[in-house]
Amino acid sequence: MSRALLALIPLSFLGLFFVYPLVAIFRLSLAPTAVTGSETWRTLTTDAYYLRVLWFTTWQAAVSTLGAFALGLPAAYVFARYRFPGKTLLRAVTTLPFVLPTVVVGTAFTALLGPRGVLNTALMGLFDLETPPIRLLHTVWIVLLAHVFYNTSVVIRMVGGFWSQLDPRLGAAAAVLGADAWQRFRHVSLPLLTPVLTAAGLLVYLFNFTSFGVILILGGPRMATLEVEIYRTAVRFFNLPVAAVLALVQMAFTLAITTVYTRLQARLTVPLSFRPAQAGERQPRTGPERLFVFGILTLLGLFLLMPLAALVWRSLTTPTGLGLEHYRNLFINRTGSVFFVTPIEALRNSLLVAAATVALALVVGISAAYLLVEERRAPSAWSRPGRRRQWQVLLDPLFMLPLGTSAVTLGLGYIVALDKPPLNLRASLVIVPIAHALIAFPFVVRSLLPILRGLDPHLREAAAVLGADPWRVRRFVDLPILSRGLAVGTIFAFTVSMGEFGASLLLTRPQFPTLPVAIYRFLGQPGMANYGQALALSVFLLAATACGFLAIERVRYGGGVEF
Amino acid sequence: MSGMAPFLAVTDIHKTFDDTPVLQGVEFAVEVGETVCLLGPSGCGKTTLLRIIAGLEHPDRGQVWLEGEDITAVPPHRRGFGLMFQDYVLFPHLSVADNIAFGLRMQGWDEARIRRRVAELLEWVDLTGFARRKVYELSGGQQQRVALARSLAPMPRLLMLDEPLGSLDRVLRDQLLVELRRLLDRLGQTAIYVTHDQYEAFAIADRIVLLRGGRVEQQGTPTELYRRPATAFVARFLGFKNLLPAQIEAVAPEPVLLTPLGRLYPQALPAGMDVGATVTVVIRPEAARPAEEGTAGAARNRLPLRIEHLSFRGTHTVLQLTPVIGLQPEDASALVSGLEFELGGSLPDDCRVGQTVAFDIAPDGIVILGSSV
Repeated sequence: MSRALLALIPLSFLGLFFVYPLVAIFRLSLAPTAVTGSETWRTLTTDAYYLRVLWFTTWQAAVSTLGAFALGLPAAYVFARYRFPGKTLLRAVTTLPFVLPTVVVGTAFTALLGPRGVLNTALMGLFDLETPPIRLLHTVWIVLLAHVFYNTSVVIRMVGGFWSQLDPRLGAAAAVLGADAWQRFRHVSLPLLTPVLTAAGLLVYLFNFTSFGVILILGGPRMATLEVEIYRTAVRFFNLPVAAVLALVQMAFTLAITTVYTRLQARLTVPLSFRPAQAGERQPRTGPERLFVFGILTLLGLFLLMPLAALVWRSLTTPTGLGLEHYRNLFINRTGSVFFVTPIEALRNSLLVAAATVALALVVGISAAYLLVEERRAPSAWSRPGRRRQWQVLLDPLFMLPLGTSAVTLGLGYIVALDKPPLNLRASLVIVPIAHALIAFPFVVRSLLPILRGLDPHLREAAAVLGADPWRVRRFVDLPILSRGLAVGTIFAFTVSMGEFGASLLLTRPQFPTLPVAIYRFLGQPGMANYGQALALSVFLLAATACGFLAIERVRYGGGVEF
Repeated sequence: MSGMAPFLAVTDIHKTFDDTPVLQGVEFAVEVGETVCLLGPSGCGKTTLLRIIAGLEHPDRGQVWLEGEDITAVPPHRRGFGLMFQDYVLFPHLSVADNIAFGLRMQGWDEARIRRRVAELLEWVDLTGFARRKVYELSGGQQQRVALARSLAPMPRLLMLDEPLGSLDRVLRDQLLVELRRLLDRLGQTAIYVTHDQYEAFAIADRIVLLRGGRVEQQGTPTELYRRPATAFVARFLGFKNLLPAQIEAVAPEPVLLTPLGRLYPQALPAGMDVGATVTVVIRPEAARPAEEGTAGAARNRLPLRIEHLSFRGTHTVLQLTPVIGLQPEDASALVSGLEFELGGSLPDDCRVGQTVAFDIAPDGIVILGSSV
């Protein structure tokens, strides 16, 4: 395939479904509002309400990030340096939250800490109380807790992964040269970890900054981050110009953060003296050491497992005791409304959308990955990354941009841009998979790039010398080597699509909701039965994403594919 | 510890990893200013022993003594030793100068003094002008010298080197070996040098401690080891080829050995050997000469051997030979690799491949080891 044709696929996809909608938002933001008649920008910058939203968005993200590091850093150290029974399992458990859909996390926290949650029910029963003693729902505390729950896994994964590959003999060398434990951390580990700490910090901050589902479900009707405000302005008040301005403000923030992040990401690939993980692992020996490892792991396990356990437990709790009533009701359309679908149909919708997403994301992702890889002829010196051309250096972050763009902004852009000729997809069912594929294809690119970059050019040359034409080189050399990366990318795209909430909420047709949208609707309706439906569906979604995630872990650990 | 305690001593060191005993009762000592070499094949426990002396591992049993004081429980950063790692383990985030200065900073030296000391060390290791370089930009030999400078900078009481030349090519290795020896001598540095290469060990060591399977097999000066290898293992490890099983046939009036090659008459037997004892005999490769004409019959230690291979090595010629008579098939296994002799000067005309030639072995070239094979 020629390079130009290869470039056409990802670039046109990105142009049509990413750049064009964002440009439409930009143009709309300059239009006068229907409500005030004055310029939108001036209204916003002078309105104290929006400044409060911006301030809240900023500080809650900062506090959530600090919380994630407070728990994540000690845990990362324990995972990097100690060997203990059940490590593989616990590692999987700590990574799970990251892949969970926001609605599942939201529902799980209501199941644990809500007025009718497991903890309150237990306490009320135990002390014979009239009202629930824990009143965290719709406060900032439960939001912060959920954010920490989410992002601790990011800190452990990123920092712990890097830490475990740092040569432990560097610490030994420092010790022999007279450095005590604190000095070893301060002068050796910390400087070497600084890039990954900063990168993880920025990424976690970005996730918290653009938090949507957690705030919407746990924060109550009066709490709003920028992301939530964009959604409410667009959908509740249908004030698209104001929503567009808010989206631009948010984009400016996220763009700044992602730019710094990608810079750092590039620096992380500087060859350090790495060793295979496990080389530095040892059993905790002294008493305090054991207590530290055990304490951190227990805290972590409880914190991460309790909300999920509460979700499952609560979904099995019916007014008449334990039972499967909530699950049986999934097949019944109780309201009889035309727009209402049975919950199980939402599951079917989600699977269809996910399948379409995977197909789209693979086509776009594979062509993008090949486009980014220089066809090297000579082996590169050392393990330095081969030199890349200027346009490849620019394209790389461009393909990562959808990851840093908020889903709600994307949905808003589609509503604004794709509802009139030449592209009228507003009523079409493909609009949801397109939005999902845009968010998912960077994952496919990331799964393939390291393998493609590491592919020894001599392998292809050897195949060619042995008589393979370019097509057969791809078929018999590239494909088998890439298969693991493709599997990881596929599952990633699938789980992203299954859990995607922000864009889906704006884009799904009322009679064609996906799973997360259906859960959110049930949560918004009064009554035990509806809450039960939300719980049961959340368990389904939890199971689906957990399976996908376990599959990724298996494939990765088997082949040592790094992300 | 009584009287004059040695500078450093380890006693009865035991260490087990995952149920595999790595060290089993190792004992040795180092005196001030001497270079002791821990020599042995890979897996003999030498690196673990070094890490225990450095304080990076804790022995299951046994002690490390410094000037008569038990330092087994002292953490590595309080021992004041220097350790040069196998593949250097330079700090990748620091420049050459900052790597060398690391230990000095840990000791709280002031910056002016650090600068002077670093400059001095850069000069010693011939890297002046490299101070601000990144360590990963250096070649292997340069990294090796930075690692040496880093471990010497804080003036360690004991310098430990763990296979310091292991990842370098032969030519560079020979050159650095000479430089290293010269530097250690000039500083009067007490050092422990770990290697699996007997050539390196002989070039650098005042004394060699040969380890096998976590135990000390033999220790002594290089000359002692070479002259009197205590066991067949030592002999083989030092590169001796001609090992034979033998039985002592007579002790007096003169010692006689019965070997698969026939009777051999050594100069002397080690003390305490009785008739009938089974021993291992080494024939030194340089102890053989082609038999002189006319002395036939009278000469003892004369072996008829067929020349299988000749290779000229400049100052001498190496001959690979097989015995022509006297070997039973079951004895042949003791001589799988055949015999190997080194002859100096020019060879007689009949020394050609395929020829059978009689060789005389000098009695002092027949070395009796303590134990059987």
